[in-house]
Amino acid sequence: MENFFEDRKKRLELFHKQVRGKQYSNPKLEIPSGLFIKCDKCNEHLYSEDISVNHFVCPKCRYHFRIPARYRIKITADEGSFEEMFTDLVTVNPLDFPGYPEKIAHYQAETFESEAVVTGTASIKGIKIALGILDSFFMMGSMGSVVGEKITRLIEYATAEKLPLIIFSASGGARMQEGIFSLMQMAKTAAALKRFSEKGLLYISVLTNPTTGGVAASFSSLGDIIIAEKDSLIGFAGQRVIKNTINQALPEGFQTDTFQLRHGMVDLILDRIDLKDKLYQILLLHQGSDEFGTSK
Amino acid sequence: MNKIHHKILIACRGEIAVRAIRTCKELGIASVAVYSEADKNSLHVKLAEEAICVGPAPSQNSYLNISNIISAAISTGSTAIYPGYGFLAENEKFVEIVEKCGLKFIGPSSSVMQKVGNKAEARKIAQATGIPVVEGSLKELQTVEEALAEGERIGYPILLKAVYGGGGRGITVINSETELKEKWAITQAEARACFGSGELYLEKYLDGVRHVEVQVLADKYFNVIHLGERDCSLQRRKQKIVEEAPSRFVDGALREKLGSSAIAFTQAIEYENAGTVEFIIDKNGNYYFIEMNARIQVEHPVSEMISGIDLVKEQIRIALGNPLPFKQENIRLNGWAIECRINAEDHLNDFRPCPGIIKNIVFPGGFNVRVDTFIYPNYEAPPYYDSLLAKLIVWAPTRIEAIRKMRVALEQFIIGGIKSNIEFHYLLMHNPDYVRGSYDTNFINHFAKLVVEENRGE
Amino acid sequence: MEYKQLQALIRNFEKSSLTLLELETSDYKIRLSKNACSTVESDAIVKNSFEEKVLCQESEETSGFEVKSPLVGTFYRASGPNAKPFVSEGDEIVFGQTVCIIEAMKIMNEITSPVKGVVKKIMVGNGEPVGYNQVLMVIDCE
Repeated sequence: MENFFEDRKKRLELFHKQVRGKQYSNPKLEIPSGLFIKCDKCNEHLYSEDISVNHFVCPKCRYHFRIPARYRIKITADEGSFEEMFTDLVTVNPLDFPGYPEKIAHYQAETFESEAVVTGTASIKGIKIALGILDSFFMMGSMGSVVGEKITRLIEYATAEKLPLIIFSASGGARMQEGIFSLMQMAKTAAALKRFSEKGLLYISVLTNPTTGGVAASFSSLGDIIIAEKDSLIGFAGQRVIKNTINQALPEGFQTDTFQLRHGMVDLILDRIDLKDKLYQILLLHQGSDEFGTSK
Repeated sequence: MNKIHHKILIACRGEIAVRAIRTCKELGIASVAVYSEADKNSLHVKLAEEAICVGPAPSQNSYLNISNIISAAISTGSTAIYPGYGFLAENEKFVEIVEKCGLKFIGPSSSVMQKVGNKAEARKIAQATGIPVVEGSLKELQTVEEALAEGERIGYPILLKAVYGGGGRGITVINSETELKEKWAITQAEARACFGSGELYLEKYLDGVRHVEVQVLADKYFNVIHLGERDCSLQRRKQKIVEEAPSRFVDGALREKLGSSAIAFTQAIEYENAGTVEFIIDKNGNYYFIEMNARIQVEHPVSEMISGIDLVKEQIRIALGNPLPFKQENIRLNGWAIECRINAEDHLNDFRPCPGIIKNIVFPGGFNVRVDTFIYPNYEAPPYYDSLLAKLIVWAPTRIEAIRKMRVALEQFIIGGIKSNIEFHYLLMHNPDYVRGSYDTNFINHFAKLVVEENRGE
Repeated sequence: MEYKQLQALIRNFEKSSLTLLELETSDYKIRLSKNACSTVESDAIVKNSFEEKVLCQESEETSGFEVKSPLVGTFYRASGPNAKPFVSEGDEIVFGQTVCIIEAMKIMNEITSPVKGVVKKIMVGNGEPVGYNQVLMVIDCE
């Protein structure tokens, strides 16, 4: 039966070649770019609005896309509650590293941020907090002097005002171009956190994708409670470096959020959509009485 | 200015896809068919000038895959998309993306579809336009307390309906306050699972009503006409099985009112293209607006037969920017049309779908006998989609003549190799209650049981 | 019972072959039922036999390994309008080598070869539309 259709089609084509005139073809439609995005994990083509209304989480496989700091503020803090602080710090080039100022300028133009961290105060369902968010879109969220200083000042402000502190980490580590100045930020922030902690104040560290290097090895891992966002890579050195150094195969799932949970390095893994509620719950529990805990 | 040579991507399957291909050819417009892997031998693919596979058998990954359908349209150089019915035909998100890509959707715009898709909102608009609606809530109910208050105000029994439901789905009958409290959460959950939103609204439950729907056509210049009503009271488990135009329960005066209400609603939401406005008529002959369907419907042929207008052709013409070539005063509704949906199912075994290979076919024919189908000898209907094989439509000057014509047509319609419900329809066409026209929405369920019992008796 | 649990229960019930589920605890009682027009077993058997007969019909036109398109889109032989084609007929290719690009919704998808061999025939013209599972090229693997 199928041949009958084919035969008929061939006869018609013959006829139309002789009888009909031109065949038309339209130019290919230019569709707006970015309408569809490929998911990094499951390779599905996703409608961009489906992702953005879903907090930038793939609706098919729940893979969490990286998000910029301002968006994080939008989905975490109460609307209009964020007040930015410490915006007057300017990055310099202490080691005269070639190309560094150009790189900074490039990222400033691209992200509209002045540096890789946004700091200030905000409220979550009415509870006032000190909030710091690293932005992985700015030079991989790398920590240089300005990032370290902003975070330290934020911690000190929280200490003075007795505010709970929440820092969202997303970083490739210490910023190479500032050398030892970057590494020093690790000690500086850790020290500030110690003084903060001594006052009995609460620090929640939220690790997002990726949290590695000097940032993971300093303030990110010093939270009273450490929450990992789903699909976050959390580690210190890169996997290849470790593998070549120890000359052994790495365990299954090394440096994934679930691996860290199993090994006690994080307390909790959460879907992006559940973060705000959980943070509120922890803040509420810690509030307890009118005043925060007294120092010993 | 360069003339656009339109090319229409036909984003549906089965008999409506064949219908659309025919119409495009009649209009001299190029078309492209889409098919899932399971449909590669389907008639619409065989008849298409051009065809492209859009995914594996499951509808989810092919006919419902927005990315694949639009990609097919763009890569084949199409300029418009014909959705038919079902699948993505009433999917606002799909229409939005089609619009963003610069393609013309042959139907209403996404914003109009949104208004129509929210049933509570549609009711509110109807009421604001002066169209009678069933007593009930005019917006989504936020809490069970609100629902209880409304229930008390209106009086039980009531219907709890999903705001984004439709087509008879997402409706629960509630008989008392206690039942409302019991079923509130589960109805919300079911609605969310089926329609993506758990929002509900409420309507008074009217028993023994007739369902009629009015076919409208609207062009982009705000000309709207109606082609009379269809009676769809013959349903088995909310699935329509036989449709008629006009309805026995509508006289000339009521037809006028239904028609003008349908037009008023269509104009109020600035609807464009073909659509259907649904009403119910109570025992006292009062009519009430229920909802609007923003697509061409399966049963459109009966309206075509009594009006003489090719609805699919008008759909395409409207979408390509043409004004309607007629006004309401030019529309003459004549005679009576009946449509029987021929499905591959076993009516003696709970209407179980019976896919299989069709060995041979004899189609009925003759004066005013029409068959809309996609089956051919040796075709194997895939088991992944609905069981509709063909629509058998007849027209005659009166209802009884149409019934007689349908009986003869059914007698002469032979589909060999698989079970179909032709015999069921034949028995129905001889049933005295059906012929008398005294039936309501429960009729078919009882009739089906009767048929099974009688068959056992033999 | 939590709302989310209830949702999950309904979804799972819908997907399953059960037609009736009754659950009773000291706190609550739930009854879910649905009408099934065909048993799941026969459904699966029918689908399997259909798959064998229709879906798995191999075309015997050209013998060799068929590289099929996983997407619906436009076939391109090269990475850009002025670039050299990735492969041509007669080329030797290795496992994982990019052989073409399918563009869909402005997303470029590189198609890699799952086999090693020689490109026997390229079945689609540059810039032509391709459908799901359409054969893009046939590879001769020794």
